[in-house]
Amino acid sequence: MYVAVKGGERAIANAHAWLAEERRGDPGVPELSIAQIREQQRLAVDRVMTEGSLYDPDLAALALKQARGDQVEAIFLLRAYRTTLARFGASLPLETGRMTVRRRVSAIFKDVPGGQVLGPTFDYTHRLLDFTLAANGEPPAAPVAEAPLADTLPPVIDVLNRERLIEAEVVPADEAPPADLTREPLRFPASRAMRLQNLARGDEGFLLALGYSTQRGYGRNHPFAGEIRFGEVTVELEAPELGFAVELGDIELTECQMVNQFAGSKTEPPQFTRGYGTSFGHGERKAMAMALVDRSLRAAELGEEVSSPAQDTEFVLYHSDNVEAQGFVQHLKLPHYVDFQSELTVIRAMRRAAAQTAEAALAEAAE
Amino acid sequence: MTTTALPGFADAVHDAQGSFRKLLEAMAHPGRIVTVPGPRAVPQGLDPATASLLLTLCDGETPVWLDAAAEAVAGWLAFHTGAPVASATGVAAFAVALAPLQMPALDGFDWGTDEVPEASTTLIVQVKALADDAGWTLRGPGIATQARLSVAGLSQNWCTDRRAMQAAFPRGVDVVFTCGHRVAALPRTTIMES
Amino acid sequence: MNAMTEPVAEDGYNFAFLDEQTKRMIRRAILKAVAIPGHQIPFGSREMPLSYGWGTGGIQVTAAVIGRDDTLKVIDQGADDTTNAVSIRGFFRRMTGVATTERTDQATIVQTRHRIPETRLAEGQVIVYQVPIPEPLRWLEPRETETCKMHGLAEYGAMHVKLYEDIVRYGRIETAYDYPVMVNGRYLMRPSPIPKFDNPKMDRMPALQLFGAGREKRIYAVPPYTSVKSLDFEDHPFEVERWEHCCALCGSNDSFLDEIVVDDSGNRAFVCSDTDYCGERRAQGHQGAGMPAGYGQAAADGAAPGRKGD
Repeated sequence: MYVAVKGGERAIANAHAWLAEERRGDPGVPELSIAQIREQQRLAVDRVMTEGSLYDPDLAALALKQARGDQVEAIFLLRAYRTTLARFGASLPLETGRMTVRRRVSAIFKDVPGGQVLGPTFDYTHRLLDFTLAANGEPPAAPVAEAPLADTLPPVIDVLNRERLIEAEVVPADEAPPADLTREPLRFPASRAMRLQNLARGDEGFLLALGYSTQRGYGRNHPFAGEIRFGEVTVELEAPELGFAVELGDIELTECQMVNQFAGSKTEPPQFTRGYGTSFGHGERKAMAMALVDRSLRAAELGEEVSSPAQDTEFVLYHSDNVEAQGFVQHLKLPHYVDFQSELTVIRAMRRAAAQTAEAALAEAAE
Repeated sequence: MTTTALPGFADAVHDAQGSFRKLLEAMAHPGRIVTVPGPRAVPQGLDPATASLLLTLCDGETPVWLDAAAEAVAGWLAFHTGAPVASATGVAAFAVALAPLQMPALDGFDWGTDEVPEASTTLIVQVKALADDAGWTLRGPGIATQARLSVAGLSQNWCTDRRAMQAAFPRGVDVVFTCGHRVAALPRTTIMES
Repeated sequence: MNAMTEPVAEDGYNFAFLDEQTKRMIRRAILKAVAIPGHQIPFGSREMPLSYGWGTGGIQVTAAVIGRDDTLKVIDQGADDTTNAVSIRGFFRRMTGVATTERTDQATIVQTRHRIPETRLAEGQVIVYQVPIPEPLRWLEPRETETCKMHGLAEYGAMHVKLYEDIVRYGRIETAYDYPVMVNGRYLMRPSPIPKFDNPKMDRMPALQLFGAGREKRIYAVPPYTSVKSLDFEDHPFEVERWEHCCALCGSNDSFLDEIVVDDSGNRAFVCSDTDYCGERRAQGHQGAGMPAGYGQAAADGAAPGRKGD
């Protein structure tokens, strides 16, 4: 028996109760704590914080728990909470050059001041399932270096900066503070600050695919990983009533400085160009993909032909947000039967007209 | 009590909503006179409706231009809304004129552009009398057949300029008249016949 | 008292969920929208606790407009009992405590997705449309920068060409819903995905029509008594859908009908999409031919999500 879909408050409440039961899973298995998610699923937490635009590992862990591990759903939960928070101000720009580095690699020099620091990375792990983890084994303690790293490591890109081999990034003194994309709609042409905000919140998978497409020739821009660093940076807030900046605390951050295809003009000698990417916590894949896309969105500004998806500002910025995208894709689940009825009416009328025409033609041929 | 210390709305949430709804009604029915709730006290020179609209519409994102007669309320405005005072008519989101006869010409305010007509200034003009049974004959969106509106204390030039502005649509300014607790609106779509 | 300190609803949220600063921003956009009928106003759409594409634009507009004295009706596909309408109505009941109704004539605000009620809306009512894609030129020109210019210049020839191509190809205009309209003779506007059956109701409607697109961050409006004309051609005038059936429940022959598949062999019944209109007519004694025997018995208690093991 076919049952027409009619919803009701009871159906919705029952569905949510069932969801909560599914979320818990087998009650014979101990429930996950927020601390366990925060500590042991840290990269998932980092992604949720990055794309949720809110640095709060506990809330991100809670969102992941509530979302049953679904990252996009968790990002949505965190954003919907974030939107209810009051804004007290904007921090000073983070001084990533003063980062307490845990990992720093550069692909453009064999060695760099302060050294290459592999840090905690999946790189060079052989991707073999580790069955000792299934047995809840504690890992052996990691060896500790004989001498600690320097407090801060100078950015690798400074080496190129000094020779003026790479474009200078000078912030004009009269530049207005960047607008807040979560408070104002995107408008075009979008400034680089707006684009970077959009990309930082953008879906990692989308940016990964776009960045990858530039490497395969859809808007190639000759990237070199100038530097990738991960560690802690201090967040400071200017307190107007005090007249100086106060430290709010440290956050974990990943940053990628891409060194790209050089450009020059009659007035400017050839110089390398830049792409920039960043993410909360440890998110190298996101930061690198973002840097590739940032650079490709600068195509028009640098006088390059705009011909590929990753160079198309409106295309990229309007489709990067997974909270927007998931909503619109999934809204197709909502009833559309009224519009479908309109289409049925139109298509039936068109078919009737076509049949009449064919009949008339047949009758004419028979005469 | 200093001007800035005067209380605002008795209920910031619901009075602002009530005031907005009345203004929306006025804007949707050009020429119709509506009554808005006023704040608990108003600074000298402001009618309750003028104060109410400012509390309802303005904040840190809306530069407000004040005519000479309204300059004294800048402190009150900043305290209650955080709105910055606009240095010139051309950069104001809202403009407040308490002395309509001395008001700058309409084309001195921002009319927006053909692509971004919403970037225009909204004028809040406090007048001595408002009536809907005499004055201009109004036609256009929001008006079933025709409406009347009579506004005291505007210059003849102002009316000529307002009529001339109609040709610039979608560019233009929307005007809200206040008088006591009463409000009437003249959005840019409204055609003033005589 | 400083305007920044707001009274907070009991459950920790401001009245109607949005903070006052956000409401002001939306209210300013609504006023501009009313002053420039049919023109889309960009606004700082917020991330709502409901999904984009599920009515966040309409919800934000309603939240900025609604007050304690309002009576709210929410419909989806014309029906008050579709799941998303139930969900949105529940959201506002929780966040505002305002009265809700299913009666079109008793609502002060009607939030809708995909339909305009059959009962004529009156002056003083506000209808809020949920809009997925606000830009009428979007399928012809995906770029915002270009469509902005086209609206600025009222350069709408491309839309006429598109509709005319339909006529050449199919003998008629194939657009069945979200059929483009010209507002006040100036702005081309999307009426949101209502069936074109509803388009004539927009013309000179006494109620205020507000449109909210949350994901696309646009608000637009049609003031009362404003001309709203569906695009057409002299030799191909605009026409609405017609049915050969009457509503099986109330016998109406002038309302938009849903086609319901009533059994496994594909038999159909036609009933009003507007559940309030249909119910009111039946209360007044109107009757249709009735649903086929046996239909609806299993559906009558269909409120449980239907879980395994039951």
